[in-house]
This record gives sequence, structure tokens and C-alpha cells, in this order.
Amino acid sequence: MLLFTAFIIFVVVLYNRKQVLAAKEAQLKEAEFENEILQKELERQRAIQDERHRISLDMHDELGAGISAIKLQTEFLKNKINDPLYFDDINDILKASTELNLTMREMMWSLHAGNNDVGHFIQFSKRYAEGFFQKARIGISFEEHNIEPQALLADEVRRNLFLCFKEALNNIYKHSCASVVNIIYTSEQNAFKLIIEDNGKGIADNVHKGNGFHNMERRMQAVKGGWKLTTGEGGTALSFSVGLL
Amino acid sequence: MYLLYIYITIVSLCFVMSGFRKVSRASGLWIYFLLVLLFEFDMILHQPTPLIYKYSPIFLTIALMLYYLKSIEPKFKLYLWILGVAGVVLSIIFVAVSEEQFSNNAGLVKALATISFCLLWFFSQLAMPNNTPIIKKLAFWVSSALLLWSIFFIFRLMPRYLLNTQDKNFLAQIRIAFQYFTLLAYATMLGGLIFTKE
Repeated sequence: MLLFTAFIIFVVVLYNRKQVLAAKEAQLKEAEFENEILQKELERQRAIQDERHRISLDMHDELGAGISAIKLQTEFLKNKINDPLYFDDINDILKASTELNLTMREMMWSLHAGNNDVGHFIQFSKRYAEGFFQKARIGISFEEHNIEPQALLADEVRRNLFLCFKEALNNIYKHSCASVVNIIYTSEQNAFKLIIEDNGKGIADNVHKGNGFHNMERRMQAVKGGWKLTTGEGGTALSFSVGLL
Repeated sequence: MYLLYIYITIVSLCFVMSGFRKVSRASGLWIYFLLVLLFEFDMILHQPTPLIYKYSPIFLTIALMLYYLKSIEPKFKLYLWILGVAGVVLSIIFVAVSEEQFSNNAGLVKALATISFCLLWFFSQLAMPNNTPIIKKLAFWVSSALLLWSIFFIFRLMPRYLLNTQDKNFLAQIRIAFQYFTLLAYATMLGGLIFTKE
């Protein structure tokens, strides 16, 4: 009887030990499986980034060279042709190729994974704003507060924020009659904020807000960000806020 | 005599519980208890020459084999089949050639088959543990009870003729002790049927 009891106790104790070992093995296998999935996802993301980088390089090499050649040939043509009748058309070609060049640079900037930090975004947006307002009689100033240049922005966030930025500058140029634009970059509590202020005539209540504002709202919603419009007789301020990675 | 009444009551409760519970109903444990009751009633009603009791090793081995085929891990079913078929075949042979009311050899084969089924089940559980603690499994209590009973059955059976001539008092004591162990075994199975979930 004693032997039998000892045998049963031995079986129970051994089973419990094996159960614990089996549970630990199962946990380990699950962790390994999750690691494998993460690894595959990382590889996939890396492959996507590499492909985007390749596309941006190809664009720079192939399209960039082509657009530069068009501009150059058009400039030569302008010098050769003395008939002013054709100057407007040639200027239109030059303008279109310049815009095309700018658009291509924006797309390349957007594709390049190395530009996904706040520092690069500020650098690029400043250059764009300076180029945009170069020919207009609008003074531009920049401010930066609490900026961590290495803080990361998701690709979609970066792209949508820049498109909102472009739309805002476009609106200032077309409608505001402003003489000064102030662009403020700030970071607070894991969020990046972009504020664009002008000293224009403001937006009256009865003025219909066009597709531009709807697009801004849609873009910010798509990246789970926020935007705010403050307007009055002293000018307009557009504020965009997005999350950092 | 009162031990007999307690024994029949406990086996009947085991039969009812095993038929009432979904898991044991599906595994066929109620068949084993039903056969035990049938053979015991045959013994009681047709004393001293029971009609079907001598076939009990065959059918009880088959019933246990069916139960363990549904309870054991699939990897070990082949071994169970081999042990079960060997046990049944040997029981049939011993019952066929025996001239007594109950073939000791068939009884011994049945006990050995039961012990091997129980040990195989324990081994399968140690080889492939799952999340359920072993003491919460019905088959654990059934196997422990049957193992206990079979060991004492062999202990009671083997020296029977020798002790009958040499020490009848000890034989009587063994007989009584065996009855208590039988009660203990079936009470253990009843406890397992009531308190376990799997």
C-alpha cells in the first residue's frame, strides 16, 4: 500500500514538473514565433524602404536629368528666337519645367526614408517656403521651440503635413494680402506642431471655405493629427499637430 | 454481508454518475460499471453456480480497453490495442479451457491487462502533459483505483489454493482486506466522477 501511494505521489509530482516545463517550452515557442513574425515584418518594411529609395534615385537620375535638359533647351531656344510672339509660350514651358522639377524634388524627398525626422522636415519646408515667397512681396520668418531634430515622423504623416503646409502657403499667397508670414515649429509631449501665421485680412465668416481647408482636415484626420484655424482682422493662424514616432 | 450492499451501492452510483456526466458517458466508462453490476448480480442471484460470471475477465477487459482508447493520447493507442487484444485473446483461451466456475488464469490475465492499461495511461500523461493538472483528470482516479484493485486482486488470487490448505485464517483475512480495497477502489472512482471535470 505504501509503495502504491509512493508511486502515485511520484507520478503526480513528475507530471507537475513536466507540465511546467511544457508550459515554458510553449511560451518560448510563442515568443520565437512572434519574433519571427516581427523579423519578417521588419524585412518587409526594409524592402519597401529600399524600393522607395531606388525609385527616388531613379527619379533623380532619369527624370531630373530630363527636366534639366528641357529647361536648358528652352533657354537656348529663347535666346535664338527673336520673335516676342513666342516668348510667352517659351516662358510657359520654362515655368512648367521648373514646377515639374520642384514637384519631382518633393516626391523624392517624400520617398527618401532618410528624411523622416523632424530636422529634415523643417529644413525642407523652410527651403520650400523661401522659394515659394521669393518672387512675392511677402516677408518670411521662422521660429523653432523645443525641437529635437532626430525625432521621427511616420512617412504618411510627413507627406500629409507637407501637403497641408503647401496648401496653407498657397492660400496666403492667393487670398490673404499679407506682407509677413511667420512659421513656427514646436515640439511638445511627443507631438510636433507647425503654426503658420500671417498679417493678412483674415477670413470673413461669410467667405466659403473651399476644398483646400477640407483637404487639410481630411489629411490631418488620416494621420490622426489635429488642425486649428484662428482668424481675425489682424491675420490668420493655421496650426497643425501630428504625433511623433 | 453489509460490505456487499455498500459495494453494490457504490458501483451503482458510479454507473449513474458515469452515465450522467458528458465526458465519462462519451468515453464509455459506464459500460464497465454496468458490466460489473451485471456480473455481481449474477453472482448473487445464481449462487453457487453463476451463469455468466466466468466470462467477466473477457468483457471487463474489453470494456476497459474501450474506455482507455478514448482517454489515452492518440500516440499510445497502438500499444493499447496490442495489450488489449492480447489480454482478451488469452482470457478467451483460459475461459474456454477452464473447467471451474471462474478461471484463475483468466482473472490473472484481466488483472495484468488492467495494470498495463493503467501504467500505459500514466506513462502517456508523463510523456505528453497538458494544461490540466493530473489530479483533475477522471482517468487519473480511475487508473489509480484500478491499479490498486488489480494489485490486490493478484495478491488475493495467487496464494489462494496454498493458503486454503496451509493457513485458512490468513486467507480469510486477505479476503476481507480485498473487500475493503475493492470498496476503496470504487469509492475513489466515484470521487473522481463527482469532483473532476475532465
